[in-house]
Amino acid sequence: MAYHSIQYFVLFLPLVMLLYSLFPKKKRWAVLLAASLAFEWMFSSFMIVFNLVVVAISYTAGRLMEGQKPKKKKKIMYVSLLLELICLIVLKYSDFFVFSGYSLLTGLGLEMGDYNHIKFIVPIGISYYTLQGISYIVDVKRKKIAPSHDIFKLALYLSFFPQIMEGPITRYDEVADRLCDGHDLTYSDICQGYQRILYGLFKKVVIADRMNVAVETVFARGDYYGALSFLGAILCTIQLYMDFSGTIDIAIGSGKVLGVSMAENFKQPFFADNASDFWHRWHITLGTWFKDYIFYPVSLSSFVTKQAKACKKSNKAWFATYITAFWSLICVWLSNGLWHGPKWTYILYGVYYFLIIFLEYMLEPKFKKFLNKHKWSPKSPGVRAFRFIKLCLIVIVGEMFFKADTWSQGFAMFKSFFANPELGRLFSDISGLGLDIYDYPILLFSLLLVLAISIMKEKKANIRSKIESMPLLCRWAFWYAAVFVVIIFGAYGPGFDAVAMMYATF
Amino acid sequence: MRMKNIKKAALFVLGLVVLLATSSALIGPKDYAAFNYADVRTKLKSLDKEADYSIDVVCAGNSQSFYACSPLLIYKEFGFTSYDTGTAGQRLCDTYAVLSETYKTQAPKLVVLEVDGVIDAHPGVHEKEDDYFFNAAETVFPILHYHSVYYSSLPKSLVNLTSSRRNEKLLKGYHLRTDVKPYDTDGEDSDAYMYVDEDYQMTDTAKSYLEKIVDLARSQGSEIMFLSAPSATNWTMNKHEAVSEIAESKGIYYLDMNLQLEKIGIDWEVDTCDGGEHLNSSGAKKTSSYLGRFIIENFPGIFDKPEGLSDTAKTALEVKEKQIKENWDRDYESYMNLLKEG
Repeated sequence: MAYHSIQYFVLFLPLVMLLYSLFPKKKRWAVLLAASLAFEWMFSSFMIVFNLVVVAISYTAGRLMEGQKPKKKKKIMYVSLLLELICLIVLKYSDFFVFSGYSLLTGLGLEMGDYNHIKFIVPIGISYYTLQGISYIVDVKRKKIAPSHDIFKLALYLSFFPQIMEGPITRYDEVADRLCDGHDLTYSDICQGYQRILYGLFKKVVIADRMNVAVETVFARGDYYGALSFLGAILCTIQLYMDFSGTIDIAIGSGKVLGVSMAENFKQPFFADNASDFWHRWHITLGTWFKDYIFYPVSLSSFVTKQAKACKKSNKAWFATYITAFWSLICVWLSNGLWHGPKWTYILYGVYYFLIIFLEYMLEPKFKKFLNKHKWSPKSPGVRAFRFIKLCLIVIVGEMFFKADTWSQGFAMFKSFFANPELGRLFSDISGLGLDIYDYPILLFSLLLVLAISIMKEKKANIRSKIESMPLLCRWAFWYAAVFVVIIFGAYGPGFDAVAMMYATF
Repeated sequence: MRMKNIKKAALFVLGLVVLLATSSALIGPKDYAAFNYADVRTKLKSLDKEADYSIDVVCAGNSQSFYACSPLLIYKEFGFTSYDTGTAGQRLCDTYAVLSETYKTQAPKLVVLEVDGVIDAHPGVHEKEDDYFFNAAETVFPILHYHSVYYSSLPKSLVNLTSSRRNEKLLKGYHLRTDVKPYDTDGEDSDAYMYVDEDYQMTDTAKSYLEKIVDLARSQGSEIMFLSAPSATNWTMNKHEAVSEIAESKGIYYLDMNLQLEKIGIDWEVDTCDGGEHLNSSGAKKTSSYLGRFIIENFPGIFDKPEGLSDTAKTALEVKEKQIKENWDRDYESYMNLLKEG
């Protein structure tokens, strides 16, 4: 049952709401836990056991750390993190690492015989609940949170159904209390939650899924030329954003319906100043997770601090700041790439952003000096347009490599930008992208609508309160119209291939 | 939640239900149930442009059909008219719907059923046979199923701008693709052509629709034959055997072109537009010719004029035939021009 399926938001979610409201306040968390496990069982079946293993490890680690001395706590933390990571690595990455080693050795001329791929079914959501489990253990160790004394309540945090498939990756201290406090559902939360779900469905079903055929058509072609590759890269970037942010809207909306506010995962990423800022606005909860559990620990590790100190003592003091950033960023971005899946294209994607962000880190001060020297305001339209175009190019190229099946496909498409742009050929080929003529205005108006909403959100305009201030009949007419836009213009049913939620597979 | 708010929410949901019910009543097919109503309707509108009772043979099925059977080429070579009623991914329920509507204006002597859709896991009107909740929702509110029907109401010039559908009407339902993307005969899976080890089972729904299609054709006095168009990446021996069994049990001719590639002259280097799944115009020229000959040889006399007609009726028939010939000759010329333009 996908979040954008009718079963989910018309049957499952209302049923959970009803049961939750009918149960005594003290036991309401049990309804959420039962619903979450049932939801996970529906798409994971017995693989749910891996989630329960993460729950057991996290709970045990938390309890064992209570009252222990820092050294012992550290040991417990390392062992428990290792155990959780073993589950993830064995299921998700074992074949990738073993096959990479095999390829390397055969590449060096060693006789290795035939390779039999290791085939494991990767449980959906494992990348998300493992990160949450790790954050829980580390936060307990850091005394940021008190360990949970109730394994079932911890299980609820690690399996809460709206976030299990695609996030957002929440922290224990943000949601655990709310999940378990037995609060009443409110009319306002239910309205706001369903409104958010509707907006998510619009982005996912009307825009992302409608674009899918064009994206797949472009990437399946072998004879790439620049204009088509670039169009494909733009379309796949928009599709990924609409799919992922739309599904996150549904997840956050579902949480809201149940009175649980979850962290935002997107904040108008294309209005960012640079690549670094982009990642503060795109998949925010993953970024903050890496920041808290990889960037800072690496920056403060003895290995990095020793190197930085050595640089400061030598004549290369200026290098000290870069060395810290270098090690922290490369660890973050390799992890980021690898987190998305066992593919070299994802690792390349991580390295790509590492290089861009590291370069930006080094060049940004120089760029600011350059602006000052020429008395150009950073907020002037010219500078902002330059930054916007630069960011779009960075993101689009990055997503193209991300979407490509192999490095060679990504590089072939990238090479075609310069080797054979052939803009004129695009006009004759556009009809072969699999989109019908009516798809274009639907996509154009939908994207303009999302853009308008994004601009308003960026300007901190309260869109919902504007709608709420309308007279009741107008307000209802507005929401009915919105529902019908999704029903009528949604790319589902006859003539459309069902498109799975993209980030559920990571 | 306060009672006032519960009432308000219930009223909102009730309003939505009323709107869904109303819009469902306005949209969707009145005469027949179809999975892809928009495509079926668009195809039937195309067919409506043909003179009544002017089509001798109806080809039905999914894209395998409309890429392999070119009625204008068959007409030029063998002199009988045909129409391809195939639509992309056509399910058997849609084949049945198209065929039953076709019989309202045409009296084909033969129905050629391309059988790729017979093995489809979901041959019925609903999205998925086992998706009970969604099926129920679609049944209560048909707008959920027929929501994209709006595009079949748009002007045809707007809808059919995608290259292969653009000239569908002129080409009598055939989809023209002139581009070439060879089938990789050295590729990893090339040996598996026709020999993929998969177990195909016809669903009960598929069996029931196939039964209905055969019964419909026979009840209307048409002959029926099964056809498998060449498809290097799609058709297999398992599928062939499953269809052969049905054809044998019902006494139906089954022409599997995948087993006659040499005779037909299919060259996967030049005859496919998408790496072996579908044929391009070069492939369709060969299969159309082969199909036309197969029909002439295996259904002798089905295109003969009825005997015992009065002189007036004979004259009327000749006038009609002359008119049909003029139209088809003109369309054939346009087709040739299209091919020249590439």
